[in-house]
Amino acid sequence: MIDKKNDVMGNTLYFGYARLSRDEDKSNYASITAQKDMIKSFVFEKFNIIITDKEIYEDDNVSGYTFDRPDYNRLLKDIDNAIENGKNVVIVTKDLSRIGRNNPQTLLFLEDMKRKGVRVILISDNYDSFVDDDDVIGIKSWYNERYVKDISKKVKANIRMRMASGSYLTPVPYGYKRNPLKPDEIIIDEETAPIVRKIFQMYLQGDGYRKICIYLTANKIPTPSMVNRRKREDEGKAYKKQVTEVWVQRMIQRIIRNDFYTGVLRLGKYKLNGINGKIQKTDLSEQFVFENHHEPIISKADFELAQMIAEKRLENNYRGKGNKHLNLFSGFLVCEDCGKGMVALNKEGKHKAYICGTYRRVGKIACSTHYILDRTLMLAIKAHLRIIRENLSAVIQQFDSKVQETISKANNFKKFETSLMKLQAKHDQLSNELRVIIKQKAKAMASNPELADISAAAYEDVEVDLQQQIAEVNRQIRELTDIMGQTSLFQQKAKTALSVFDSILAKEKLDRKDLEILIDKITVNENKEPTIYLKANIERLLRLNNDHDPDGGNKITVSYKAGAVKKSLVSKVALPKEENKADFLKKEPLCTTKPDPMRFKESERRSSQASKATISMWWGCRSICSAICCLNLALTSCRTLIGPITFHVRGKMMIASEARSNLTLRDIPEQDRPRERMFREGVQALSDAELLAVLLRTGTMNESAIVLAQRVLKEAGGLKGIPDMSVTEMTTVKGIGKAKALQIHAGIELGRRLSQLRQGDKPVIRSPKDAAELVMEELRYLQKEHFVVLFLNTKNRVIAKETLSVGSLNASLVHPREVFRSAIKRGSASIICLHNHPSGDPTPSKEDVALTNRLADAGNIIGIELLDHIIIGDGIFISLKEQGVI
Amino acid sequence: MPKSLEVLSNLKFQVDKENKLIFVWILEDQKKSDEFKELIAFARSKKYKLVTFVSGNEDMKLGLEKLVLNNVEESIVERTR
Repeated sequence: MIDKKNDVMGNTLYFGYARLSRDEDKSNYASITAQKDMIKSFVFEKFNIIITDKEIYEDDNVSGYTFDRPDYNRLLKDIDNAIENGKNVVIVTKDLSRIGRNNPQTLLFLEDMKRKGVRVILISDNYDSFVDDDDVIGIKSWYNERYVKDISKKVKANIRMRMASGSYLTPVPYGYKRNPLKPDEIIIDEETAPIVRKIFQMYLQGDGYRKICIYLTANKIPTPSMVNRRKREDEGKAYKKQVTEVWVQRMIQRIIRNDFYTGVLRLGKYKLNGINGKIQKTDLSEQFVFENHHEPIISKADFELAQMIAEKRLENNYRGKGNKHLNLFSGFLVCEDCGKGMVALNKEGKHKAYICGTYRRVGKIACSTHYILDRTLMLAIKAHLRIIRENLSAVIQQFDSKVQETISKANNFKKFETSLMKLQAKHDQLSNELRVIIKQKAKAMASNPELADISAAAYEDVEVDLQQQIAEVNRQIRELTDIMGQTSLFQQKAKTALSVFDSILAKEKLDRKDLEILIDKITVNENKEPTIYLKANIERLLRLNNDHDPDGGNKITVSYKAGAVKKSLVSKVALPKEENKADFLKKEPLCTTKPDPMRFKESERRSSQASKATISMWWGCRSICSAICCLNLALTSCRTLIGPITFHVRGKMMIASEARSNLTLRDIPEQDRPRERMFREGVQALSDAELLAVLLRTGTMNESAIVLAQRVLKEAGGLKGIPDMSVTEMTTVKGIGKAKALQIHAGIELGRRLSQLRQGDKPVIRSPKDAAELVMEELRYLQKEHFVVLFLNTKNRVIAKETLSVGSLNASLVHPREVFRSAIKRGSASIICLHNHPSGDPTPSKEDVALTNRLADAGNIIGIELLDHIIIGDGIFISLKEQGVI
Repeated sequence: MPKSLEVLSNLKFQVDKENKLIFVWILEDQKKSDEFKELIAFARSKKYKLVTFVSGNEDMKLGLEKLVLNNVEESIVERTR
C-alpha cells in the first residue's frame, strides 16, 4: 500500500526496507526496530520527509540468501505500481546486506532498480545509486555472500565433527527415547518399542505396508508425529510440525528400512545441496557408522530378512510410468472429506476414474473411495461449455477480431520453407553420396573381377543405408508439403470465435490447459458427486434467461424455483411438487440436454457392451441370484428382468474393481477381530465400535462391521446418542437397514432391562418399612425363627441379603461376630438385622433387645453401623430403632 | 430487491437423462439455499448424480477469451507440427 501522506509530498515515494536473520543476530531482536528508526531519521534529515512504518517493508527472521521473502516481494510489487502511476521511487535501507547476501541476486536487484529508475540508498555503506558509481558495490555484495557461506561452512564443519564423535543430533527414531538423566544416551522406549517389533513381525509374516498401516490405525496406535508431539509437550515445548493420527506407508517403510533398530547409528545420511538447497542422500562411504551404539529392538537376522523382502517386493511391484496415462483431472480433484488430492485409476479394460488419495494409501479406515469417472467430469465440463455457448454466444463473437489477429500473426510459412529447403539439400547430398558409392562399387568390381562378389557385398550395406536415409527424407518432405497445404487452407478459411468454441466442444477430450483456464478445483463428496469450482464469475450467466440471450439459442437451460410448478414456453421448467416429482424425469422436458456436436459414441458402445455382458453373465451368475431372477421372470417381462440382473452384475464388477483397496474383517489378523478378541480377552477389552460391530455382525459390501459401527457412532454423536436414534433415523445411516437398526435397538433394550433388573436387585432402604417389606413375604409364614441381615452400601442400597441362622420356634441363635464377619467380607457400610416371630406377634423379647444392644455396640467399634433391628410378624413388623432401642 | 437476489431465488440446472446427471450452476452463497438442498434431495431420490458448478471471482469474459485464443493457437501449432 502506498501511503498518501508520502505521496502528497511530491511525485516521489520513499520506501524503507529492513531485514533480519535470527541466525545473524539471535540476541538482538530489536535490530529491526533500530533499522527502521535509522531509515526514518535518514529520510527526514536528507529529504525532510516523514515516513511511517507503513512505508517500511520488513522481513523478520528471513535469511538474506533467499530472495523469496514476503515483504521484499511486496516491496517490488509496490515499486512497479508506483512506476506505472508515474511516480519516482527512492528505496532506503541500512546497508547492502539487508537487500540480500546472495551476490548475483543482489546485483541483479540493483541492476533492475537502475533500469526502472529507482534510487537506492544504502545508509551505512554511504551509497546512493543516483550519486555514486557502483564499482565497489560488486565487492561489497561478494563480501556479504562470503559471510553467509562462512557461517554455513562453520556450521557444517561443527555438525560433521559432532557426527564423527557419534553424537546423535536429530530426534530419536520411533521406538527409542533419550535417557532423561543422560541425554546423549539413547534407550528403548518401552511404550513404542513393541509397536516397532509388531511392525517387523507383521512385515516378516508377509503383510504389506498398507495392511500394517490399516492395522495400526485401526488399533489407534500413536504415529511417530503423535509421539514426537507428546515428547515436545512433555518438555514444555511447542510442536510445530503437522501431526497425523493415520499411519501411512512411508512411515512403515522408514521403520522397516532403518538399521537404527539393529543398534547401528548411521549419521550423515542426508545433506543439503547448498544453502537453503534440497536434501540429498549421501553415499554410504560419506556416512558415519557406529555399530552396537545402542540396544537393538530388532535382531540383525530379522532386519536383513526384512530388507530382502523389501528388495524383492520393489523389483516385482511395477507401478507404471507417470507418462503412460493422461490423467487430465489429476491435480484438480480433491476429496471433500479428507481434503487430500485424488489419484487416477488406470486399469486396463476399465473406465478411467479417480479415487481419494487417502483411501488409496490407507484404505477405508481413513476415508471412502469418492470414486469419480473421468467421463463424468468430461461430460460436466462439456455441459458447462455448452451452456456458455448457448447463453453467451454474443460475448464469444466479440473475440472474432482477436481470433483473426492471432491467426494472421501465426505466419509459419517461412519456417516451413526453411525446413523444406534444408530437407531438399539433405536429399541432394544423400543422392550424391549414393551415386559416388555406386560408381566406386562399379570401379572396384571392374578392377578385380575375381573379387567382384566380395566388393558387391561390402558396398551393399552402405548402399542400403543411404537408400533408407533418402526414403526417410522423402517422407519428411511429403509430410511438410502436406502441412503447408493444410495451413494455407486453415489461414484462408475465415475462423470465427464461435467456430473455435464449437471445435472445443467437438473435441473428444479437452486439453489440460483448457481445464486450467476454466477450473479452479473439483471436490468430490462421499456420494461421489463432484463440485466444480470455476475460475470465472458466472453471475452473469445465472442472471441470463433464455429470453435475454442475445443469441436466442438457449433451448436447454432449466431454471428452478422452489415451491413453484410452472413451465415456460421455451424451456423454463420448475421443479415439480412432491406428488409430481416421481414423474418429473420421465416426462420429456427434463431431458433437455442437447446432444454433443460429436455424439458420445463411446458411451453408446459401452452400454451396448454392458447389455451383452449382462445377458452372458446372467447365465453365469444364475445360481447365485436364481431366486431374484426367477421371481423377476415370473413377474416381469424380459426387459425388466435385465434391470435387476444388470445391477447385480455391475455390483459384482464393482466389488472386483474395488476389492484391492477395501478392508474387510478378513484383512485384520484373526486374533484382532472383535469376536475373537471378545472371546479371548473378555467383553471389557472391546471398544464401543467393536461391541457395536459384534452386534451388527456384518458390514456392507464396501466396509467392515467395525467401520460401519464407527460411522453409526459418529452419526449418533457417540454411544450416548445411540438410544436416542429411532429405527427410522438409524436407517438413514448408509449401510444400516431395518434389520440392523432393529438389532441395535434390541441390544439397547436388553441392556436397559438388565440394568433395571440389577437396580431391582439392589433396592434402597429409606425406612424400616422398606426393609420389612423386602423380607415380609419371605419370613412371615416361616415356622422357625430366621435371622436375616441386609448388608447396605453407603447409599443405603442393599448389597446382599443373608440368612445367618435358623433357630427354634421361639429363638434364633446369632453372634455379633458372625454378623460383622459377613459385613466386612462384603464391604458393607451398614447393616439391618431382621428376624421373624413364627407366632405372628412381632413384639420384641428381652433377648431381642439385648442382642440388638450388643450388635449396635459391636457395630460402633467396627465402624459398620447397625441401622435397625426389625421383627417380622404376620403382615406386621416392629422396628427397634423406632422403639428407641437403638 | 437487488438483482443478485433475483439470481439467488433461481437455480440454473440441466439434466442429462442418458448419463443420469444433473448439472447445476450456483453462486457460493446458494450452496446453503433451500432450493439447492431440495435439488440435492431430489437428485438423490432419483439416483441422479448431481454435478455442481460453483461460481468463481475472475472475469468470465477474460476467461472465455483466453480459452478461445488458446485453442486458436493450439490448432495452429497442431497443423504446423
